Amino acid sequence: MKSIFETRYRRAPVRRDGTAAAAEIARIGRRYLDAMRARPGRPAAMGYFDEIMTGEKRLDEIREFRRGGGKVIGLYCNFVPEELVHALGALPVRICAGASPAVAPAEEVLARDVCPMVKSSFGLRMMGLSYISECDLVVVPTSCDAKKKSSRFLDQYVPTITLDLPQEKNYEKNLPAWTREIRHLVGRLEEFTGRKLRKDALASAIRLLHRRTEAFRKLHEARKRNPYAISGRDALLAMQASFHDDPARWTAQMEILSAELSVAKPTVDVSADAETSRPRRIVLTGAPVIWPNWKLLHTIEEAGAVVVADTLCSGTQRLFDPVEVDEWTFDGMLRAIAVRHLFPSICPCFIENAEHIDRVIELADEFKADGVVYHTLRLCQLFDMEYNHVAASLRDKGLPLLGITTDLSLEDEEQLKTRVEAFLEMIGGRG
Amino acid sequence: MTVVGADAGASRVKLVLVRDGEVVARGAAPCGIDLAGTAQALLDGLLAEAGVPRSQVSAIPATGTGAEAVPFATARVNVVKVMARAGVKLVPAARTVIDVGAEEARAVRCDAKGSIADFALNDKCAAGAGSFIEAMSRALECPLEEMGPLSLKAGKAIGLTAQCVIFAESEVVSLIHRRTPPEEIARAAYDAMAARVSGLLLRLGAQPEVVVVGGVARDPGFIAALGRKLGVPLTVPPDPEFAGALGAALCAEG
Repeated sequence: MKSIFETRYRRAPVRRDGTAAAAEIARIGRRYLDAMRARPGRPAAMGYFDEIMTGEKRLDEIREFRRGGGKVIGLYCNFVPEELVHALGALPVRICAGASPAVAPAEEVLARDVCPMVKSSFGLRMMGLSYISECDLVVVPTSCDAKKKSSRFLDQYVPTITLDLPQEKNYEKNLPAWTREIRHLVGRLEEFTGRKLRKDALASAIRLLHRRTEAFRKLHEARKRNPYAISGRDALLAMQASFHDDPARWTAQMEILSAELSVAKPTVDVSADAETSRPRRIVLTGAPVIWPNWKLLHTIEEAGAVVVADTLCSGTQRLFDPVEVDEWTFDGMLRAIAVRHLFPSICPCFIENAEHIDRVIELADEFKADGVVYHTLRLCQLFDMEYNHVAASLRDKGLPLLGITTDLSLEDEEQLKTRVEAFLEMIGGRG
Repeated sequence: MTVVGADAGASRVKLVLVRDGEVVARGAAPCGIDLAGTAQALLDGLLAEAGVPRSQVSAIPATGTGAEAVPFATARVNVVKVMARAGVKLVPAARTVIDVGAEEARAVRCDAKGSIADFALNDKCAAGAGSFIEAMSRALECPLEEMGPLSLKAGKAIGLTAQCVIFAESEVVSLIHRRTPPEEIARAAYDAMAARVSGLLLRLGAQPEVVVVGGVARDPGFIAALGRKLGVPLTVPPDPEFAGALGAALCAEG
């Protein structure tokens, strides 16, 4: 497959030893996981997701798949339809990353003041670690400058193609171009895999992910329970296992987890559930939180609150919406895929994104939230610039909001703790 | 009921002994490299001075960045919470409490009971906190306690553009080389610091009465600069550096 980038100034990829970083990443993950496991009443079904997220099992399976000639395709965010990859017999993995030890190495190739999430993914590839290093192809949506501009550097390591994302979510103006872009992607993926996208295969891939969404929605419903049935840390960990797990197996495990939650006793002693001491219910919004960067979730929940819902593209946004097919023709399915991968998004990359505010208000209402935490990843101007708009609108609604600006590093844990505790104190929970 | 409140800040550790809501004794010392040892010696001295046996102290809540390292602490209390409690205890009409310590500044709006209504904290940077003035006093070769009085002699205001402590220090050096009067440089340093602290109040608003606590509140240069910047009267209670320890003690009393 011919590179989409100019080859005249092509450079050899810079590679760095990842031994120390790998150990550090494992240590960070273990620390957060230990705290999650120490909580009484943790669902036993979480064990499966723990293993997918922290063990080598899934990586080994993927390596085995590649040895057998299978192709692994890295998807840089929510905008790339996984259905297409499955239907072509390839394996999609989401490569957005939250590993802080991979950030600094990437600054050598990218630049210093770049999104830490993009640097983390890139650094992992430089060091040959994690799922991004098992990719045979990467698809990068042009959803922000950091992703867009990093694609040509990533192409030094692995064939990389871009997906041209509209800047607005306007049905009339943007859907035709976006559908054409999805068709173009189909062509590139067909060329890369050497297969033809078949109608029946596409229909089964859509149905496969429908089942995944159905299973996810049971978890989503369980999080509405009060007292809560599952911590936000556990819920998000289970969701992110879907980044690289086999969808059918993930769905089956999610059904087991949901079944366990439906019969589980409340994790909180009801007698301790007096209005003043009950765990405050938090909706988390803003920039993606990605394992093992559990810093914010850990801080919120160890301070006695619980994250009951999120709007994250690394969480609920990824799994909630099904591809809604009206006509099961090839064109009908492609159009439904295009619609699903544009309109439900509340990514701040869109010029108008009032749906972000709508979604937070809806979730706060549905999940009986006491407050909202807005996560801004330092150096992401998009989430940063959207903050004041969201904050003012929530204030008008009387919804307490805490804005947290941080990066993937662990150095500000104490400052975060101070802010979160003061916020919980303010909204009347245990401080 | 007798309790001790501990506040282990970035620079000093402060203890107050409170009996039935009133301060009986207080003590402070630089944290040093052995915070636990310093705090223990301070506690022993305080109890001996007040003639109170340790067994009579029912609780010792601790606050501040070093709270975890206070060996005898019975609970850890949030720094924002204690400032709201202490502010209202010291000045009953307080609705905005500004706390400026060595490394951090924070502002909290509170109600008549000293509960948090809203709050803002500075970022990781120390430009709006006491260590900024310490760096400036080094550059000006002027003892820290004389910095404030010196700044009050300034005839005019000059700007200091650097926000970072390190860059501001080199900017001050270049001002010295240009023979700028030291009092104007000192005032510029306080103005820069006051600008950072007042930034915390942009969203919160400075609802009267505005009370300033923390070690830096004793500095007349800073209070003058913050007053100019905010344009509202500021109240500095007696012993403002003990506000955190007092607030911690009050949290134990419920």
